[in-house]
Amino acid sequence: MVNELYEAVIGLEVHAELATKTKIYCSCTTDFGGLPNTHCCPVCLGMPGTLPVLNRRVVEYAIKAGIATNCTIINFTKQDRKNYFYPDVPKNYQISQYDLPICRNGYIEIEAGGGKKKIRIQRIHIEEDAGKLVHSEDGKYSYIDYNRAGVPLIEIVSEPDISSAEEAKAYLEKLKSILQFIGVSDCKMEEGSLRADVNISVKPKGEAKLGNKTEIKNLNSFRAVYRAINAEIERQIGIIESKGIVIKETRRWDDSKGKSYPMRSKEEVQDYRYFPEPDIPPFTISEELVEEVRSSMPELPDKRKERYISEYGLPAYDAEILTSSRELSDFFEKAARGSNNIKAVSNWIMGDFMRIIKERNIKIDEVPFKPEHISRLVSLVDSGIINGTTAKMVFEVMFDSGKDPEDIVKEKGLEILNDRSELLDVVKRVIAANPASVADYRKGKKKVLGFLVGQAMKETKGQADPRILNELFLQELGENS
Amino acid sequence: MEGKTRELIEHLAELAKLHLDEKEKDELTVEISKIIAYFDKLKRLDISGIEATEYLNILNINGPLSEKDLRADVVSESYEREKLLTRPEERETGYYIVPGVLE
Amino acid sequence: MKFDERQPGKVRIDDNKIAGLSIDELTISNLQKLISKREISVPELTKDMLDRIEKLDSMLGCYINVIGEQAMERAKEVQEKLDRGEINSPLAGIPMALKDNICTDGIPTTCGSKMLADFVPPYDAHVVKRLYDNGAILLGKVNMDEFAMGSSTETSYYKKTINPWDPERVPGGSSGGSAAAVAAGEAVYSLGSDTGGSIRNPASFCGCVGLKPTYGLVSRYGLIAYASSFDQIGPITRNVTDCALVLNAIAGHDPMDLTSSKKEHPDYTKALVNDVKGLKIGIPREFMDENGNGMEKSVKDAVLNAVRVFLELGAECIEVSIPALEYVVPMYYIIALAEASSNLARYDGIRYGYRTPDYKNLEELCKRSRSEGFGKEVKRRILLGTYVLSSGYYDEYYKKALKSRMVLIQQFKAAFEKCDIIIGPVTPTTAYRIGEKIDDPLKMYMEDVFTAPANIAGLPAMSIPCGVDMKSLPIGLQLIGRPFDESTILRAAYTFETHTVEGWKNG
Repeated sequence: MVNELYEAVIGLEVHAELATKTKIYCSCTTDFGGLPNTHCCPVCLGMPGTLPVLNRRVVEYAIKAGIATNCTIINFTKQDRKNYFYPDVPKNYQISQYDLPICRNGYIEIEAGGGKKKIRIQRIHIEEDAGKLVHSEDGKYSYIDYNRAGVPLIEIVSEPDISSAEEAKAYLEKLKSILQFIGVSDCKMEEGSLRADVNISVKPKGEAKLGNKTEIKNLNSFRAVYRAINAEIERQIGIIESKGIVIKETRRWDDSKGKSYPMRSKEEVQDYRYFPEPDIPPFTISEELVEEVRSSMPELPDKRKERYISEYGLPAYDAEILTSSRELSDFFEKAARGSNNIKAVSNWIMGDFMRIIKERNIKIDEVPFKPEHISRLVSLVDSGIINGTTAKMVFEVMFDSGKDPEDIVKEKGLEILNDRSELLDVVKRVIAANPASVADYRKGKKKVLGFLVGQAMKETKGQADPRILNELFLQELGENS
Repeated sequence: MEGKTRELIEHLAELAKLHLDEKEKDELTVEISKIIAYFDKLKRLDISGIEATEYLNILNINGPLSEKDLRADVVSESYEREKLLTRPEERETGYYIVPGVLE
Repeated sequence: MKFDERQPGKVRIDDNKIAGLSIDELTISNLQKLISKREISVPELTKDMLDRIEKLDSMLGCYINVIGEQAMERAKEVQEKLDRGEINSPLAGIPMALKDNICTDGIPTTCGSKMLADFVPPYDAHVVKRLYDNGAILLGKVNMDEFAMGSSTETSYYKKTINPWDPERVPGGSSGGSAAAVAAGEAVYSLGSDTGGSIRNPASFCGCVGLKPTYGLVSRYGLIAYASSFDQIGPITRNVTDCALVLNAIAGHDPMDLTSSKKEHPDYTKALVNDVKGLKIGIPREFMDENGNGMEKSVKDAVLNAVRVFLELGAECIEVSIPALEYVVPMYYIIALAEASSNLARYDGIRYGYRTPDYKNLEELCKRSRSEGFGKEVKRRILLGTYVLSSGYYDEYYKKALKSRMVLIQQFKAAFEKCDIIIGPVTPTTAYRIGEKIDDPLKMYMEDVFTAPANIAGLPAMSIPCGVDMKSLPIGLQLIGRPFDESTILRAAYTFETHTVEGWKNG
């Protein structure tokens, strides 16, 4: 949606909450919820005399995120203090990283303009989150909850390689799927475990000099990012066209209004007075650890997608959906193993499986049956032992009982009915019971056949082979017409 | 020089969230210029050849820290809220309370 | 109060005895003997100490907060444990005091400041837990310069502490209350903290033994931070033996402090050996030159006399040169104040500490609380620290100071290749008059010229009494050791003490 005459230069700063059990500098839980200020201790409150103790897993997860995004991992790193006063920052400084971030110079690939595009990642570093402020209705008071203070974050800064809202959305989605896949963050933007700020400037196409950039904050969904970028591009073009100058500022996006507003500036230009954190000695990251993390990396979504397309012969659409989460992808692969009809397995998973887990609100690792059971179900249908309708019913029973579909079919006597003489009786009975429909059919309403077959299916509790029923109906109705 | 230093003091006070009255600003302007001039003495020390990894590792007296020395990701019980909140209104609501902040 | 002129060099506040001991016999080892022989009970001893505090402290001003009831309760508990054989520490039952920047669970910890007047920590500092485990009896929290910023205890919000040797003089700082309490027999020992000399300085002014451990030997968890890369907690005691006993109890790794060392530490009492034969002692030329250190003749003479004593005892003394010592004061202050400005940012009236009664919005709440809660010196240091970190000045001051620090560390390392310990003065003069230096910050900063080097380089350093001047005021001798080599400086100190205690006591 970018104007033909202008191009946008966009960079994204993403903060992701790490899925560790404890906070970054103390052993308080990172569990969500909890009454205000009940997941706190003197350390995360920054009380006098307390000291930060860095959580090893935070470093591991940062390394993991770096490896998954093709970054170089530093071997000597430190933390730094970022000094500023704000009520949600208990020490009035945030422990972060300034000039020695754990990861640097990576990239991820997105689909753009019909091909692939590399978006470079400048750096990934670790830092602590702040508490949460809630404001009273009348604005007279603000209430502070420090439960989230000290939750570990990684900040991922991209180079300004993004040129449109579509690309930004694709970048975020790819980043999210990677981080979720490797188990480093659950990346739920609506829950705040993934946050994005946008830096954007606009310039005439071909112009070398960059325009002034603005920063947009308060983007709480991918959709908001998309809309905000487009709105800002328009706004900046508007200013440039009317010979104005775009002001370098931070703006707050209001999704309900579809507009951004200059933020009430906290400080004119913040002087964070970064200096090395003296309470946390600089430390080395061993080759060992990096190798350990590298070798324990699961195959990333892009690679899996390619493999599903080339090895399993699945269409890109299927591959995309099946790799949308690690759990789903792992489940699918187990289900597909040894199956003769991987496409059918894929269909089951993309369709009924995903629908049912959503309806029943269960997680993939809570599904009571084994992934292999899906491939067995597919075999049962392919070998004609049960029909499609029965299969759907069996599938629900698999969710209820966790049982093997073969067992379910045997126990409930759900084998397909394909005895022609038996079915012929049924067909004759249905014809006799539905003279009006039969008459309609004879008059030329061929669609009534479906209704009649349906009735016969009902009589046979869905177990009849619909193809045979179809044949028999045509036979009977045809003979007499 | 005096004028510049007074501005500087005001800027520093703002950064450090300190409220200074005029008398304090006057006194501090004089004292701090003197002290900073004394600090400038350090410029005469030759520091060439000191690498970042050396001076950052101020604790190289303790030996370098590796990631193995960091804390394991094991949950400990948090503090009871009553131990951390001390004012009556905080105890009542469960929150720390400040005058309204516009964000 | 009587200062006995017939015995110069001896503080004689009164003739009282505690547990049958005169004040200068009030050591951990002497008391330990009496306790184990059942000649005195822990509650009796504690009560005697509390009575003494009650009698003297309105004059001396050592204690910010005496916890009489709790001390007696604890004394009872510890006596019971001793009776049941459940506790076996040399510190069991010995009453002590803690500098008021060391957090004590349920007991107010003010840091000598209005800002923390009503701060009651819900946690004990690591060293406090250790002492409690050893059966120590806490008598109360003692006075200090506000937020440990000062060298005379004059910046305390609460009171002036006087030097027990002369009521018109300062006890030194910032652990002035600790040293004065020990010197006057208001505590058998105390823990202080040392960032630029704050244990050694008052120990020297009050005629006590004070030790700043190697950076990282003792956990800082629960020590209200001043300058994170310099702060250390250490003992202030009557003699070197007591110092080793207390150090044993508090040294060692703490998982709550990443800067605390995992190194195994030795039993420091094994260092109490009367032998310095062959010990190589270095004296920095830069310490002894009269090049503007402001060192008084009596102090210089006392150090030279100490050299003579060591030589007589079979040690070797050589001159070493550590040129960077000339830059110690700016180096120390730039780094310390930078860290302090950041460490003190948390005091904003929101979560704990002083909150101004008069505010219309958050900005005023924060600024006024800080401005009303902090004293002048603290504010001055915060502003200076903010300056050296601020944009445009960081490279010129802070970064340069960090690099300079490395130069000093390297030079000390080189010196320690030629000698085993380094000695020198602790302070340029003996105790000066109250009010004499407080109005000139720079003059006050210069007090740290001999002590700050050990903080900058993280080295262990002690002050032990080595004589008195013409005004009968104590002079301290400083001993600095290699990192984690407290044992060698303890040995040298013990030897020196053994051969001189009688000597200087008698003028």
